[in-house]
Amino acid sequence: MTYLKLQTDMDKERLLHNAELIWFIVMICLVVGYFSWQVSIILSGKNVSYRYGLPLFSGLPKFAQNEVIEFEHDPPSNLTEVINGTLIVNMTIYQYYFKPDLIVAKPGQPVVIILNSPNATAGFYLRLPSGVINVNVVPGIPSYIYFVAPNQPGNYTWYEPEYIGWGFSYMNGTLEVV
Amino acid sequence: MVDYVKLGKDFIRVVSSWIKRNLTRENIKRFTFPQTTLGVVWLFLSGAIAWLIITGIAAMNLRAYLTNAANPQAIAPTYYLFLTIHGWSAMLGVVPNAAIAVIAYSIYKGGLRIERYKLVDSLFWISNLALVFAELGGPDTGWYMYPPQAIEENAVFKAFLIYTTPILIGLAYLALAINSGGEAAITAILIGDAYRTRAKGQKINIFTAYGIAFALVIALSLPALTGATLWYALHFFFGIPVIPLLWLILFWFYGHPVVYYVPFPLFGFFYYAVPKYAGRPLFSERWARWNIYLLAIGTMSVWVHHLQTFPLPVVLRLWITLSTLLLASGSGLTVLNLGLTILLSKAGYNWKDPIGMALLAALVGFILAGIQALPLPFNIVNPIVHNTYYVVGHFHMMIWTLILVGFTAMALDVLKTTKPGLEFSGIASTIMNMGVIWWTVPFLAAGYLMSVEGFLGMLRRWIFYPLTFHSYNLAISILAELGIPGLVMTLGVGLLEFLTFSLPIGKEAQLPSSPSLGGGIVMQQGGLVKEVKLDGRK
Repeated sequence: MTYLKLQTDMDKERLLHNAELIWFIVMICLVVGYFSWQVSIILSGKNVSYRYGLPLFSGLPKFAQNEVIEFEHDPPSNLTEVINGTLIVNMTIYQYYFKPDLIVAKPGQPVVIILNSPNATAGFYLRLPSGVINVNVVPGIPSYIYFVAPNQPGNYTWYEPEYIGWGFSYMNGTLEVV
Repeated sequence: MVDYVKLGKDFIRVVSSWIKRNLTRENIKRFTFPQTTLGVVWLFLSGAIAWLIITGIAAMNLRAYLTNAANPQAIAPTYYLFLTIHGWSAMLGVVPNAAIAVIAYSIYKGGLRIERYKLVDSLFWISNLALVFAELGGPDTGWYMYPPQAIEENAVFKAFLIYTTPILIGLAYLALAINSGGEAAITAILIGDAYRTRAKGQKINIFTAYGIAFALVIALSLPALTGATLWYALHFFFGIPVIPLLWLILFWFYGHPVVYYVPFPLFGFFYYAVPKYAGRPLFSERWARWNIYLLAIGTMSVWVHHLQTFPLPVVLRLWITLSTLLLASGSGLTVLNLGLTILLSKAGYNWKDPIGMALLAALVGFILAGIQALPLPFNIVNPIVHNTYYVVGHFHMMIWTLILVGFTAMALDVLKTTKPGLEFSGIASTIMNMGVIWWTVPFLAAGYLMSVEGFLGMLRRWIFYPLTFHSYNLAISILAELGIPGLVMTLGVGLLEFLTFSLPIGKEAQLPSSPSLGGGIVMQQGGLVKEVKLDGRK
């Protein structure tokens, strides 16, 4: 009788141990499976979310990359240029202002901003009806922003989201859609 | 009718008689340079609470400014001074001291001991005084101290308001390097001492296992901050250039793990204490032990998720998905394990005990703050809320609940361990439980309001902000003011019970109820007389 009870207890213990182990392995498998799926769809080009929208040159759509190359080949003195319908802006962030602090775009026009910040780790924050643009820039490395101007004409304000000194919360600029 | 005058007089009498009896030179020395493991716990516990008071005072200054939407730029240097002191005191003061207190307590509770206490005590004072020196310079950098702003000294921005020469600024950063280097060294010493004093062939208990594992995480990640701040110091002393992106990566290699320095060793305390209040064994100790690997790997490798909006390559962003998911699954398993332990309790979870209540509140807070954090690591969601109050709301909720309330639970347990036999009276327990709720509810509400306004576009560190957010900021400031007395009540009443607890003269108290403990404490009326060595333990 005692022997049987002991056997049952041991079986219970073994069962519990296996159940704990199985759940732990299942959990790890779920994580690894999800990660592998992400890698495969990114490598196959089915998913561009890891690239699109990033503040990298490679994060720009292909046509915008070509237009930026053309823009940088012969940069205009007024910092903005329209190339094949895309508005390209070469913007620099200083303590405590954006240059330029006004961008005029047409409704639905593609816009690329090449963002530079020589003096501070800075950023660019703009809320549009289609979503939020929020990127950082460090001295010496330009960041690239791509978005499509809203179809609704109006003024849209961008801000400095990074603490670059005492005056950062007073910094802003305007995207004028006309 | 309560005689409040008599009550007040009694209170003053108790406190003054305690001071007369205990504030002797010998006791002060024993407290400031302890020679026992539990003494070291008390030293770091006190260090954490001292920095917490500074953190809180600075925070209330910030919140007062934020009740005004249109602050003039002239107040910015003062505001950011309080912001930096708030951040440094919290992240370089409260967090490492609290983490080391939890780790030292885990060593004590596991029947191990700290042997090189002189070195640990000295490093405590050196690292904390170094931080005091840096803060006295009037830092205005924010706790991130991003380059090149943090090494700037000109008409548009000064990194320090008081230390304005290159030598002084360099010394301030050197002091920060000494602060973090000293704390990293302490954790390395604790690991070594725990290893040397372990019982051969005996498995260490779950609390100690967590304490040691995450002491290792601290010892490996905190030197990144030492390196980063030393780099700044070398810039001022020898003109070495600072590379911003590389500095940021170095900083976040420390900056993410630091948020787990207190919670993960505390998980070990939860695994030790929750079963006691649930009246049943932990649901799965194996999960708890296996989980250490997931949490340790996760904490060490998620730094990129703070840099999602920075120009970093895609492969690093991909990596962060894996490491963050490992961390999330480890955290989820912790909640499941502790939750099942509580829910499957046949006797019913003892939430009427203040420690039981604090553990429960910390766990609920961890779940609520954790849910809110789930979208943060994802590349396509993160930019919506990066640098907004959504993130501020998330990490403050973690601090206010899991870290501070969980730490309070452990502090109360330390009181009971120091004076075995101490049980909080009925009225004290009620007040302390009320205090936990009084603190947790307003701060959870403040955290969620922060997150909502952040989602709507309130950027962090703004002192001049759109009027839309004024009512949010006003409500958050009021809620924070309302909540503060809660934790003061819980800790204050607990401390009062501790100070006024006494056993009859000569009666020896019961040993603390931890496994394999070999120490005893002899009580004399009103105070701790001596700690008795048993089995060679101090």
